[in-house]
Amino acid sequence: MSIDIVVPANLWDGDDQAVVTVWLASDGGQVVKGRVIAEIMVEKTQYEIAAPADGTLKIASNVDDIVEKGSVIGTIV
Amino acid sequence: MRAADPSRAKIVGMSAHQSTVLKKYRPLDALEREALMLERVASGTSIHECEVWATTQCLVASQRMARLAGFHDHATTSAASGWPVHVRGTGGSLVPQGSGIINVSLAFASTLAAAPTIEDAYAALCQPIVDVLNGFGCPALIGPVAGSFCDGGYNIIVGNRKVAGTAQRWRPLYNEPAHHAVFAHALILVDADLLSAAHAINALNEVCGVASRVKASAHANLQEHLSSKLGHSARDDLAYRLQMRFDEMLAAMHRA
Repeated sequence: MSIDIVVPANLWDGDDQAVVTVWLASDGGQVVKGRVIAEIMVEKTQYEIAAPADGTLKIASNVDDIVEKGSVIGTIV
Repeated sequence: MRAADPSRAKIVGMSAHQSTVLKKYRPLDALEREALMLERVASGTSIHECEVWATTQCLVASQRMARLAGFHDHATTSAASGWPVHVRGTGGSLVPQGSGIINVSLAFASTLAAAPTIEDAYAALCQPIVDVLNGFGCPALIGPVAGSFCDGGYNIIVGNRKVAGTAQRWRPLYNEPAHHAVFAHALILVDADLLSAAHAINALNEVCGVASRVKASAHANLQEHLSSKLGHSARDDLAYRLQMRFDEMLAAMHRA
């Protein structure tokens, strides 16, 4: 079973797009639930994304990729 | 003879303690204090904090910009020309700092407000500043200003020019990851050297390959608009009013 890493759908109101600015864990690396593993930026806001579960990270959106609200930027298996 | 201005009278009558509300830190100390504010709220050590401060002349870049190739070499060159470069935690692009700039650092737990969005947090940061400026009879708006440094949708504007810029960082609360510690920062131009700042930003942007350029004329210093309403120490007067207004807002947020 995999768990999605999602950009929260209610984080901002408008139609702005965000950009993935950094991954703090490696693709294929082990992550711990609750630890910050990525950051996105939207409207000059750096938003830290914590791992939703323990497991192995599979990155779906790379640094500088544009993402929307509700986007899945990776999974944990 | 001009009519007495009640808001001005209040400021003139402030105590010595109140007049020292504008803290002055070295840039790295200021940035560390901001990081600690966010960390205290994220860890639950505090639920909200606000500080009004100033620092010495420098440029402050986002972490994203600091990852550009050659950034640190170019930063050394900028420092040699009087504009050392530091890196902050909030988003956006290059901003100036200096003695003519007042900063408001605000941190609060999102549990204090009903599911705040990024826009809600900008409102919490911008509205008290707008209120203070309006209290001086200085009409202020919120919006973008083309050609301004670190432009975005939540600048504070007076007379079609940017007088303050804003940015944020959000971190999950350690004990309630569905909620967040919100850190919001405003940089307010009081009597900054706008020409020098624009030149320093453009120079660093150019060598780093960042396409955007800023125009000094897109900005204004509040002293241009408030010189007759602020006391001899304009920065201290304004800092005091800002701190009081933000303290009121946080207290109301806490009660709600």
